[in-house]
Amino acid sequence: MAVFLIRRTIGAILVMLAVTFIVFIIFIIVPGGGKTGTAQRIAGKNATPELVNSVEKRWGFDQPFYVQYAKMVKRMFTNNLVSYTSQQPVLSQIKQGIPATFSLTIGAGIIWLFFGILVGVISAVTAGRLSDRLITILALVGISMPVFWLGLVMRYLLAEKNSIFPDGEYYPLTANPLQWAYHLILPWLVLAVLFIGFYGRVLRGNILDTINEDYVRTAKAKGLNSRRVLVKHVLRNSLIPIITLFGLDFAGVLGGGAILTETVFDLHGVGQYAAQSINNFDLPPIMGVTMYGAFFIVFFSVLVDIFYAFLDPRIRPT
Amino acid sequence: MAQPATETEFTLDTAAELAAEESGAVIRGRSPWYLAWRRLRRNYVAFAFLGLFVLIVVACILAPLYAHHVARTGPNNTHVLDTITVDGKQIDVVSKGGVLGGKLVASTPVGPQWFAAGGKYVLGADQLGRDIAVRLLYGGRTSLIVGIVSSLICVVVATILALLAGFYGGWLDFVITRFFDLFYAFPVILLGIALGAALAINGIHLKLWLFSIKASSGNILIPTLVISYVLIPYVGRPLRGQVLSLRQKEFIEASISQGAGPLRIMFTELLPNVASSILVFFTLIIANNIVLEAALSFLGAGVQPPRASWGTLISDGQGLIVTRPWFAIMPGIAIVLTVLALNVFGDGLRDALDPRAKVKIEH
Repeated sequence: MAVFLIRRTIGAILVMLAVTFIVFIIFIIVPGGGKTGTAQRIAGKNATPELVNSVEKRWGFDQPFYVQYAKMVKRMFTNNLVSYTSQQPVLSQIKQGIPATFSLTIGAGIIWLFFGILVGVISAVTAGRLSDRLITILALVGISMPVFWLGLVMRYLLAEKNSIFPDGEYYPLTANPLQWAYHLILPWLVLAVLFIGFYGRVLRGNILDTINEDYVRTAKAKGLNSRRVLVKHVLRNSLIPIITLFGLDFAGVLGGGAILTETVFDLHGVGQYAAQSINNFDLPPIMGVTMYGAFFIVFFSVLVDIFYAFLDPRIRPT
Repeated sequence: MAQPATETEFTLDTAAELAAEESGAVIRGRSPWYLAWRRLRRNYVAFAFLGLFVLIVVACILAPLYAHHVARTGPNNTHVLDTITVDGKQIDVVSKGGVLGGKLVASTPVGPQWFAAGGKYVLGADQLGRDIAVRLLYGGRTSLIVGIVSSLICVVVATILALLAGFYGGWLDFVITRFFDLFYAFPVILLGIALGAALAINGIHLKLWLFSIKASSGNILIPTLVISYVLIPYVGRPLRGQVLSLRQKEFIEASISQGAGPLRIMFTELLPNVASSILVFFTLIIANNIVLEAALSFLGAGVQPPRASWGTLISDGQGLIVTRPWFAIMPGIAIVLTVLALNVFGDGLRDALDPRAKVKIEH
């Protein structure tokens, strides 16, 4: 177990470094124009050559790219990343976004896992009947909706036209938990809709696969009631792939992946910060957020592996 | 609890069933493709949705006809100062804003006219007086082209990578799987907007061996390439797994012993065996990519204005959502219908061909 953890940790650090390197390459090399190109973008379209030159010197764009990357990584590990455009330290900006992002993710995660499992079980148990078909259609409609459009329409219908829910923005949990939940209900539901549909479909397939296994027939043959067979024998196995999915999706959203939902509802979370920085070509925050996002994905994939081993002794890591 | 799933529409045709149908005649050999076709043929829902998709594609192809003969304007023609005649009255296409009776009034474009204005502005106008119905159709062309071409590129590249990794194994497999893993650690949207935004400014100037790719900043080739690239691991990883297990089968060994070269084995032995999965992936990836294109364009990192796409239309409509809600709702409905049609058909295709292919979705 210790060896497994050490190996995964080293792997995780390498992956995170590689991810930041790719982001660095995307923003320094791909846009073209060489070193002046980047300086030009930061200085603005109508900047004088002197200004571009001073920007270039100030942030070190005149150095070779590997030197720039090494300096960027050094700044990243010493918490000295500073935004090019707003001059704000990146770490404090990410910290400011974390409460909103975490609140959004945890609430939505609970909703989508609960309803995803419920929907999957109901449609598998009634497979082929009317309720199954209805659920299947609804799930597919849910999967097919662009999340930002759903958010936009919901916000218009329920918050702007009829003020049933407050209109956007994050309300701190510590100030008033009721207001906090009230402000987040719409974003939670919008983000969860997609996942509910998807998880329901996957779980339905898994249950239908498992239900025909020999051990399920044995359990029934020895006289267990059907509820017990479903919960203890069928679900226990069918849920394993759902756990993996949930771990990775949850980590993705926690790491700022819900950019669209955060932007549409103006939650000022980490994802929205990333989107704004990308539009400003502000490299340090993008590096910071990517590192932060990759951390959660890597961390949760290790967590999922450990949980897997706990559920299924055959795949215990060595 | 109910009986183990007995789904009426998707029953697998067993040899016994086939024999019974042919009433004692000699049992003919059926190819797996034919059997899949038989299963698909019974799935009327899937076919109905395929019809819907074809309808949408045809409507978008016929966009110029609509623009010339019904709306009499192009997708990018602005009519800020024009007027239209509705019931004998003259109405500004974009009402003039300013101070009116001591109050500040914003300028608003006309809403949906349906057919009151003789085919003009059926769905209203945008801030620049452009006909939304025309832009919706032309935007559909952009979205569909980007979605289909990017899926094609994605599936082709992923298949080649999967074949190489699965067939050769060893260090090549190691490098390719690490490449896939790396992109799993990236939120898809983040990678997409990073690439899209970076490339949107200066365009692409790539020279790869004999090929040189050149695309200036407004070209739809840029979002197409970005989108195709982003989802490669999601197709490549499961395909590699399939190739890896097929590689151990006897027919590959037989082929090697007959002296077949690597290319021959990869493309005439392995490829036909994963073709059904590829087809399913292709359908579902188009659906996925249309949504991804809309998301990137909505965030300003995809299709660039003035070119219309369903994503940019939603983004344009966002500013007018209080006064002209249909402007933002309409392109969204177009996306939902198209993607739903592809998802339902893809689902039917998967049930018929390969029950195990799964595609990841977007946040």
